[in-house]
Amino acid sequence: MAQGRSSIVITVFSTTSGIGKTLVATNLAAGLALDGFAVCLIDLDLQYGDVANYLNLQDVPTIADIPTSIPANKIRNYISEYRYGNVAFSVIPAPYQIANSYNVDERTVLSVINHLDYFNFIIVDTKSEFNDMNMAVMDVSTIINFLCVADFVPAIKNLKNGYEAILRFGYDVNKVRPVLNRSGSQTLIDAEDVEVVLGKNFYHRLANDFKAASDSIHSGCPIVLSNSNSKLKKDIYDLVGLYTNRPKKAPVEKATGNGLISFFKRLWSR
Amino acid sequence: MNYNVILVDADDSTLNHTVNIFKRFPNFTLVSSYREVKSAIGQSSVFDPNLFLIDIENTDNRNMLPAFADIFPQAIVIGIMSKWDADITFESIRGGAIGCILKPFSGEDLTDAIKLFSRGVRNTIPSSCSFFSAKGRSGKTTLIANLALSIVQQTGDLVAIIDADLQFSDMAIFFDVEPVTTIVEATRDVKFLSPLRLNPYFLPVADNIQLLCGPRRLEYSELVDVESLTAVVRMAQTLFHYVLIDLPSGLSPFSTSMCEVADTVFICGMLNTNFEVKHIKRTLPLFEKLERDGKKLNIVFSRADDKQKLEIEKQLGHKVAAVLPNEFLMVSAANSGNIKNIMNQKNLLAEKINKLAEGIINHAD
Repeated sequence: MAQGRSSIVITVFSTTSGIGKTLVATNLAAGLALDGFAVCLIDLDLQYGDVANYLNLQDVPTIADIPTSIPANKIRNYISEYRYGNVAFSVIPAPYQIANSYNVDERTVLSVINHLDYFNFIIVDTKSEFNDMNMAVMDVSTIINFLCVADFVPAIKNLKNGYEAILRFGYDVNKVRPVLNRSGSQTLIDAEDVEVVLGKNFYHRLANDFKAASDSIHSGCPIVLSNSNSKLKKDIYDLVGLYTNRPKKAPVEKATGNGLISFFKRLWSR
Repeated sequence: MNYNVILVDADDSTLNHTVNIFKRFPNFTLVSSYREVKSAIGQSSVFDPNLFLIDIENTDNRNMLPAFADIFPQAIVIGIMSKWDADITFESIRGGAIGCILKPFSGEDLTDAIKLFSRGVRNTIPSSCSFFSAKGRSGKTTLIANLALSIVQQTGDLVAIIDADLQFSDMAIFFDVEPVTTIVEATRDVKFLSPLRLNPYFLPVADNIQLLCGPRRLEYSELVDVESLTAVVRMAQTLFHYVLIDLPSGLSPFSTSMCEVADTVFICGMLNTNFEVKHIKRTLPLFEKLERDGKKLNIVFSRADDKQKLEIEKQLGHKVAAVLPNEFLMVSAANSGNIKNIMNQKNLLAEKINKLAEGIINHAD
């Protein structure tokens, strides 16, 4: 249930890993921050999460460092800031040590999400698996960004099974938004055929641009904040717009995360 | 084929039972029976036996199995036992038995067992490999399917694939088959099964390759528990020459148990962002412990070349068994369920996989 909380929780989930969940999650966070929203990005791929890697964050507190019964007023001590130019958003990465992943349970994570209610948006990156943690977070999510690809038949079969399972688990069809990544990549599978298989049209499509994605990951800078001319950048920013009801316009080149509008939005969010 | 059978069992009821069932199966002749294995070894040659049924719950009998193989090289040995025991079965197969059946057995059981256990060219001890990956899309399933094809091509032996990637199993798609019975039913029934009865749960997907399919529905994965899956794998290890186990990505009780039960562990990764190497480096100490305990550890990276291999080895501080090139043919073959043809073609991927398969075969010899 998403009641009793004002922040919007977007969980980026898929039934296939390695198809760009972390790229989408980090860019959603960056794009929302670019638009002036207060955003916190949480990495719940607890064993092998890549958020810290993609954002080049080192030696910052992780989700495993947060005590089980943390009081709301202490949560800020465990949140790190990612900053690029004038744009900043908060991050809680996955543990650095695999052993520490076992110390994180759903109860703590749900309590953390509740304590983060002063953010406009909470973006959650996940492991591609139906596990207790993911299900608990999907329960409290406003939107499940269900990431898809149309390049490999076995992956499409898993997407179909996963999407149908999510609906069978009782999630509202409007809450689950299939988003196609790597759209237009050279495969023999049409995106429209995947839509037929899923029984639902893609909510949005993200262009295939391996180089732009790869450059962004290696530079530690989300594409939406970079000076890339890639269509992928535009597509991701458009996706951000769909989640904020932003009127359609080109992304602003100069980051405005700490501007006047941003200030009021942050004020409002508290 | 006609069989001159010698029974080695101290239990008279087994003798009576065997005599009775052979009345209906004229191709089986009980030429002699012994209560003690020593007598059987010493006296059997005069009866020109070609099939021994030996009670393998008796330790002395098991210890003498290699002697049967030496003295009667033309005969086959089938172990008989009243209760399934994987350890005893392993020991017996290593000693020279071709397989084991449960007592009381029927004539049909014996006929089926001879047929089943004589498949392929059993000149190896059973060997099994588990395939671990930190994250999905590691090329693990592609690797397993092709290794199975390569092992069969090189040896003519029998390979089983167990699709234990419970939520997102897709091996059936690679071979373009529709699952009938799956890992869910096999694990549910395993307490009541023997190798002979487990075999029908495996679906033939290519010459000498059989697949235990993953669950038909994602939610059914919840019905599979680690203990039952381990029992299925251990039973399968006595039924097939090679067992290849596809695992869900990440560390879990399933993946660690399956790695413990296998002789060789493959750690698979696909080189995309280079963070994959970092993830495997973090995981490696867990597997190096298994390596120290005697397991073979093979690290395999897809989408990498030999130059990158050296760099990866340097980063990991561990030898990489193989790097596999990105083969577009493979993607299109998997998309069309036509994977079998890839290993018949000359390409770098097939070459590298054949070499890896050779490693598995040599390890088993």
